[in-house]
Amino acid sequence: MSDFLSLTSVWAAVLTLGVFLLGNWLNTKAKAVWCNPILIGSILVIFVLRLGGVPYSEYKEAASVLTWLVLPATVSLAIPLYEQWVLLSKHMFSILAGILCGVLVSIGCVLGLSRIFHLNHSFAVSMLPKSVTSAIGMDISAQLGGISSLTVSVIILSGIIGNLLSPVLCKVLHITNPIAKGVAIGTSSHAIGTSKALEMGQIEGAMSSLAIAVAGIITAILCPLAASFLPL
Amino acid sequence: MDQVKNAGAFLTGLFPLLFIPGAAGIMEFFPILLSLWLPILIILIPVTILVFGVAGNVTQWFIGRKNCV
Repeated sequence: MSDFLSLTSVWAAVLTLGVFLLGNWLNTKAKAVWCNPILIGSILVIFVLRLGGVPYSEYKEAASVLTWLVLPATVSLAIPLYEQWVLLSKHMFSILAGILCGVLVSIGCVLGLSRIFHLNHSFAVSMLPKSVTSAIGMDISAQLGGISSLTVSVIILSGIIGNLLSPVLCKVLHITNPIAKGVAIGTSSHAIGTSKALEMGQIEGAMSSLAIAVAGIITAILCPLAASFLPL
Repeated sequence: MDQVKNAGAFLTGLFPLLFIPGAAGIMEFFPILLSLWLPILIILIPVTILVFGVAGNVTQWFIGRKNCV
């Protein structure tokens, strides 16, 4: 039985690693935006699971070796943050102002669009925390009566959009300062975006990591207030 | 610091790999996503881009102003 179990966890890790390497290879071969390891990897995993008729829960359980590593990896985000501490404290005001404005725009737009589309209360509050990390976003959504599966989905998709587009967006939107790049990525697309920020540079990575936490806290404070503007 | 720096860089470098199992989880929610595809699409893509632009440009503007003074 234990042999069988270790075998089952190996297949999920091998599958994930395989699709990741494939995505990475495509990424280095073709420089196109969509050749992104997370996007290609997760689409291929979904494809393989559907093809093999394997339920997601089984894969998730077997891949827990990988998801377990998310925690220590998240803790290691503190290292670039520590190393950029001087820069961070020097520009603290600018950084906080950027994150606050980003969060206000995010919540404001979701509120406005929910009204335009006549989304019901639970759908709308599910999307309010779309730009923050799932640990915080899920709690906000649950507390306000949202649907957690919808919240997780929009959070993941926002992250993938940020991861895909951040290099292009920095260029198009004329964001050249590495601190501003990091703030933009972390505020709009949390940890999944941050993994791209870390590839862009140490300052970008550090500021993006900080923005995840700060944007999460501000969103947690403002969402209940925002939800009160929604029709029940 | 030197003792943890390499391990930390290794772990954060793994992030894209570690997010794949979680991201694949949206396959469970395809029905709900499809039923709301238009509002979700509009809330997701333009709003994420707008938040990106506002957060980045506000920070950049304040940093620029500070450096000028």
